[in-house]
Amino acid sequence: MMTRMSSPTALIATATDDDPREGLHAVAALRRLVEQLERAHVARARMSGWSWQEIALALGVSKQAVHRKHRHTR
Amino acid sequence: MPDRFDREVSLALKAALTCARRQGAQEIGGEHVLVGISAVPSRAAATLAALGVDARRLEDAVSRGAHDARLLAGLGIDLAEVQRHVGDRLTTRWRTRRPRLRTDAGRAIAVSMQERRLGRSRRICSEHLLLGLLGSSVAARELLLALGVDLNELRRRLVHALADGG
Repeated sequence: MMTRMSSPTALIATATDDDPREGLHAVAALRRLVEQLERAHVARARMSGWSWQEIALALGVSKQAVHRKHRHTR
Repeated sequence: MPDRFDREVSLALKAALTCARRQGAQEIGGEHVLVGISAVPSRAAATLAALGVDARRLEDAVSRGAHDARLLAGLGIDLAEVQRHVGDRLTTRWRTRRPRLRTDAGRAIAVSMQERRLGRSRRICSEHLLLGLLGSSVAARELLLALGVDLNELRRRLVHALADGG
């Protein structure tokens, strides 16, 4: 997933760049990627017969939160 | 004068919704609106086509995540590699939820209204919406840059097209 071992450094470099815009845009892109990954893996877990409780525990959120967010995921 | 969408803009926004659904997106972003504009015949779509960009190329790029790839690469994340790990599951389908407008797409529509007023046009046409996207949507700009489009040239041509016939 990471192209460089020094990805935290890359993150910090982006974050402390003179223009904060690029770093903020990168965070927005990262948030979109995290959402996509979460949906993909929740869908996979559901297809494998996982309960909402198990998924919530793995994601570290409440069962209600995960169900509200993902009940439409196929 | 109230803000009214030209027919081509309404159709482009519908096409954007369809594109977002096809891509399994929860929200209609600037990248989907760009595909929508390109998919409906208009002067904005013709301007994009003259710069080598059509709806199919745009949607292919969206499905590869081209609108986020450069930004993520800046964080050391290779999006293509992530997609290889997850397979085609990154585009999860939704059963019933209707995609909402993401902030950048909403801003682009608001800016297109301002562009219409500034240009004293009767209706909001596709050029206004595309100018709005260029001004407000990072995702739309990134997508065009990924396809090698010169954004200043595109903006210049759109302003020219509006001055000609707007």
